[in-house]
Amino acid sequence: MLSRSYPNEVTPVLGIWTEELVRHVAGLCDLRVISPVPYCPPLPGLRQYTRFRRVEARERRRGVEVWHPRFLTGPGYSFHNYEAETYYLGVRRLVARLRRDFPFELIHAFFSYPDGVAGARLAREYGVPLVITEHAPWHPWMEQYPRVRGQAIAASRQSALHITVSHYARATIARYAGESDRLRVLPNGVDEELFTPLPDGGRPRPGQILFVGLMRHVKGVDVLLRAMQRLAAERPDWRLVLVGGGFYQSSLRYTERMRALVGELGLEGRVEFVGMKAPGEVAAYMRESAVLVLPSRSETFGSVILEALACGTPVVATRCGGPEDVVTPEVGRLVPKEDPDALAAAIAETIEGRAWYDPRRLRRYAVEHFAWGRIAEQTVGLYAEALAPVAGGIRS
Amino acid sequence: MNLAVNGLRLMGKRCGVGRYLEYLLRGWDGLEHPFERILVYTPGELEEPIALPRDAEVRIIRTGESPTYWEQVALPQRHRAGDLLFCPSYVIPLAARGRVVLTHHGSYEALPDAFPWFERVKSRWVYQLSARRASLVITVSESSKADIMRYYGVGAEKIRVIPNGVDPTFRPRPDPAAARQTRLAYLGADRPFLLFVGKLSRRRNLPQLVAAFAQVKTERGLPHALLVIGPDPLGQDVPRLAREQGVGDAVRYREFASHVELVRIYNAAELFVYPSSYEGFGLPVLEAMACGLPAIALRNSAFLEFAEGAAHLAADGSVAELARAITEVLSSPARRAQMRAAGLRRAADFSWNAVARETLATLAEVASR
Repeated sequence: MLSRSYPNEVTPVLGIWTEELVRHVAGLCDLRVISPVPYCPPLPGLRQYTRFRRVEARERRRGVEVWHPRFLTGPGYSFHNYEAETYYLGVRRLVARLRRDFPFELIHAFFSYPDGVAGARLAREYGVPLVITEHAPWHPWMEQYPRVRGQAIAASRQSALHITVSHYARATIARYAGESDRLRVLPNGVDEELFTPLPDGGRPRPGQILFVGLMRHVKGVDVLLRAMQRLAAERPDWRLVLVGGGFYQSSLRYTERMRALVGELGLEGRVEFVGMKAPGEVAAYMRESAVLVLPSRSETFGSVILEALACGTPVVATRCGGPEDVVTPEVGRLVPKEDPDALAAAIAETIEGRAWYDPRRLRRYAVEHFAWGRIAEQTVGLYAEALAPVAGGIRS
Repeated sequence: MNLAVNGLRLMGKRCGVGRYLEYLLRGWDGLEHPFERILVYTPGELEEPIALPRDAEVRIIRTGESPTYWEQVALPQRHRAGDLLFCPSYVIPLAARGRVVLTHHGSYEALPDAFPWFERVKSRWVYQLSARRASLVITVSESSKADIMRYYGVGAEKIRVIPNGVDPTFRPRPDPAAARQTRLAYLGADRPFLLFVGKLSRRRNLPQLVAAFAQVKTERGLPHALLVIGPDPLGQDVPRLAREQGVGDAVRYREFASHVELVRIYNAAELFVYPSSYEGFGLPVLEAMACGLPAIALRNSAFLEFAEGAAHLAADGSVAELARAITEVLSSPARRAQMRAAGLRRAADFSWNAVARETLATLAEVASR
């Protein structure tokens, strides 16, 4: 398993979906995880980069063996065009060493670039099939980096299976790499033990509307605030709780803009910014809220939707990519993006009809289709398919 | 004393009587009553979970046998004579000890042609025995009460009329974007549509409805579609009926829609048509009216009691009459606006909370005798 996006001591929430999947796959087959971290010389200052020096070269995280080799990269996207090469150079020797007593039969890389491209090179060297999981859409990213695009398309074509988390993301890959049976959709899962409903008979807070996510323009919190303004006159008792923040300056700036917007829209006292919360606390907010709203402008998957459903809470989400795969009429509503009127109407409909969204039914839907155990089983099924001999020789 | 409830009809996906019982149970939450507990007996885990009153619990009696065996043998074995048994669906366990209250939703004998003869013979005596054996019969309309007296020989003093209600979530939702999405989702295109919701029983005249729709559509060159939602136990095969009428492209069929979906569907439709030759009540017509959707029903049974003056009542379920009614309503926006307003006013008089309260008070009254 190759995944640069994987939690470690310094970035504990990076790639948590990859870790969840790996953890569940680990129960079904023997695996090792290689998660390279940026190399930084021991310079004074530059804490943002030197902190990676704290990451152990090898650790056991949640029952999985994880190696953290170093690879050379630069700040932001400055090195983006060359990351696949440095990534490959960073992991090559470790892979050769592991291979001695761990004769792996398949390489699974998370993200097409740089992981998938480096994985493709290793897969060729060792003569094993490659599976890539892509968590992000290829558009518009691929437009900006032609060199990356060429490499990613080649890796995709070499892969036995190229998995995406939504039909939306799949379509963006097909657009560049060509339509193929190799392109599959396998959604993210949900941790059904963490995200649980209120006990039977428990009642949610009647007018509590919840948003969970990074504070960024793409998440559309501004649209949600405008929808709140439309609801305010008729529903003075409804409240919006915003859970989440961000690591970057842009998130802080966006949060400040949203605070100002609350004032401009006359929503003081009706909107609460609670900041980032641990997963257990997020689950508590989810299960006690009347509805979870995901007002995004774009969303590859939208895991918070599944988490809310596993908590027995209905959802209102925009048609922005990923949510279309998850939100059925029985569990919530889909609305056009950037449309505060439609969003407000859907929120009102969902809260007023809340008694008819039985938490047990919502949870059953989430768990039956999206429990990590089930996604892991399907992943291993895809491994078997990738390993199966193909008529006419080796896939390439 | 406990209140025992025969929950057989809560099994599977609920429509008709299953929904009636679900609304009662929801409405009983928080009400005062003389019973210690409300025990809802079922033959297994509920496929669709249900919101129960806080003082209620589901008790599963597993048998692995047929529903009839469960109802007539297993349930009366478990039921304690000291409890009051409420049977919300036509039939009681004839061996049940103690007092039993039955809800009867309309007498099949009033319309013999609509049912196969063996079903009539079977249901006739078990319905009659049930109605006679029950301490009290609740029914949902005056017309149904008259039929129970006439066909089963039950005295008027033993019958209580408590009509159906309508859930407050069935209401107009002026949201054009949502309505458009609903049409796209259920019809595959954003086009106006006629709607039928309900089990496709013979008495509901589905073949005639499809034929009348085809006739009006062709004659008038209408863009409309027809959406039919409901289980099809007789295998009437709506898509086939539509193809035979040459409107296969314009008719869509779904076996089931959940409560939240129905609210959206009623709100996205242009006209509701429910051509039933006989109903104890005819709840979908009331729900359509509550959503501001003009409705066509027939001039018979319970429709004369709750829909007269609000819905358009056609003389009978013949193709000609239905086509005439559909044409009349579709061709007049003024008529539709008037029906919408009248329907909303009428539906406002009906509430499940009131029905639940009255039903529970009736049960308490029987228990205190």
